[in-house]
Amino acid sequence: MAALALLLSAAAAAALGDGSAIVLEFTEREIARIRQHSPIPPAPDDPTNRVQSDPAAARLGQFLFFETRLSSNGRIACATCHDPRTGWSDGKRIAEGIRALDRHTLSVRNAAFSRWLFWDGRADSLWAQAIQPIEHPLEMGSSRAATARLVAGDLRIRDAYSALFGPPGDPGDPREADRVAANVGKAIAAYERLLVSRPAPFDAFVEGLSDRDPAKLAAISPQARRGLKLFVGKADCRRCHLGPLFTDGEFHDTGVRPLSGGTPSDPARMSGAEALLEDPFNARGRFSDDPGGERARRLSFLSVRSEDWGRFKTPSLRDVASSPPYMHQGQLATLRDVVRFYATREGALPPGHHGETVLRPIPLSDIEMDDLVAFLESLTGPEPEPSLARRPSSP
Amino acid sequence: MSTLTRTLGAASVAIVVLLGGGCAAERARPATAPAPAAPAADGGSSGIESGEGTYFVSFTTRPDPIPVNAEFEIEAVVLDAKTRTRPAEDVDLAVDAGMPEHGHGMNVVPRVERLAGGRFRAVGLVFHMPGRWELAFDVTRGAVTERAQTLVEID
Repeated sequence: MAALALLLSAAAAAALGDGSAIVLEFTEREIARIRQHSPIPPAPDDPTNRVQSDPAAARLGQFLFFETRLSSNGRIACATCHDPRTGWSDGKRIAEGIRALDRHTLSVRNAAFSRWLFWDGRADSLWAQAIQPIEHPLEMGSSRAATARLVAGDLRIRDAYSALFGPPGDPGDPREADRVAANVGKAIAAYERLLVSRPAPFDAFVEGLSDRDPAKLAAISPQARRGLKLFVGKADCRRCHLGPLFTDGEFHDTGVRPLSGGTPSDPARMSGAEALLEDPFNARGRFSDDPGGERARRLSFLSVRSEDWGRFKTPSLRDVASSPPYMHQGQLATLRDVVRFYATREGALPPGHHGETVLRPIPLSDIEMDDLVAFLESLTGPEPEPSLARRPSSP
Repeated sequence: MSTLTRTLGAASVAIVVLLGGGCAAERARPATAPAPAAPAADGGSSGIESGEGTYFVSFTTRPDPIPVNAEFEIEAVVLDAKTRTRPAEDVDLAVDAGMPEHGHGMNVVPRVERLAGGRFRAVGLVFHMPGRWELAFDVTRGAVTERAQTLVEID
């Protein structure tokens, strides 16, 4: 009898081994919501950059991404703050370029998916974004003219640039300096388009929900599964962290207090929208390769609104565990701190008179908060190819 | 969006599939049980009566259902509520939406284009968040505006 019982037990275990038990932890509605988050699609097309998919442009862009001569002091490159070793961010609360800034460095990983770039959305393409830090006085402190001189003066860069965009003209001509700046941005964008998240254990799990492969369903821990259930249910994180990139790409006031204390003073999206509409490098500008296209059209629906004051972009949660600290000034050190902040709203500023009321306290236990963190950690995939994480030998 | 909370209008709503087109996995559906669908001019669609009962707005979305966080457009016709067949004359239409539970609207300002036959097309709409949205049609004749309004749930 004992042998028979053992056999039956083994049969039961085998029956569960097809993954059904795990799938049954989730309702149909939860599974439908979970499927909205995977797989990671290809980065959206950007017709405003005609070299977006050109490998030669990506190589030049990668070279320039690690090029400190783009800064006024010769010591800062894009990669200084967007360091591959710290999740393509810098691990600091506040970015430090030539001098300290007032916002945290966003990771450039998955930036190609962004509808709007920067915390305030003041750029609408990767290439338009890449131009701004180079000439920002606190970041790289350089200028379009200096960028044009570098491109014209370094023979290797000049050759690579000329093959893509034609020979650079007189760096002293402001219009030519603008053109070179736009093209440098487009080359860097071609490289940054390659910096996308790779499938994480969560993605294997979602595949497992469909094919019930036990190995895939075991890709994330029971704790992470509980966290996932909370994410799409009680905690309702998907309200803003939508889709495969876990972001709506839009702007919200989380109520997190400024590092300096006191009341917030950063207008964020309100000024970002205004800057974007006036940016000569936006999608409808003369440097765009598709000034009458969809991205340009999208700008026509944008307006500068007072209710956007203090709203910052929702970051992606892909690989989020690899790039602490969090929030727009790095106010929160760990994912646990972030989950606790959203659950309890302790320390949050009250909404302003235009404030949205998306965020309300959520009754989560300590165990549930840990579960959510475990789920967020399951969104960490392999790093991009090592060859993308270093300066190439030539442009 | 404060005006959106004024009334729920005669929300005899139906979001009708008309213009075809595919859609994302995320789907929208009316948040309230559709009241008896009122036939509209084209005989195949349904619509909403404005708050004062002057107009009947028949509309379709493209894509249908409305996707979450992606642009969609609405084609609408404003009819005289008495006949529900004759387009209302000398009216303008504005379209807006918001999430009453969150106190925010869309992050875009849609543009309404006038088409032939009393029809309008609103373009550039984006419901950037899942949940319950109020969709409002403001019909203006002279200095008087009436709103036709409905709820839409997006998941």
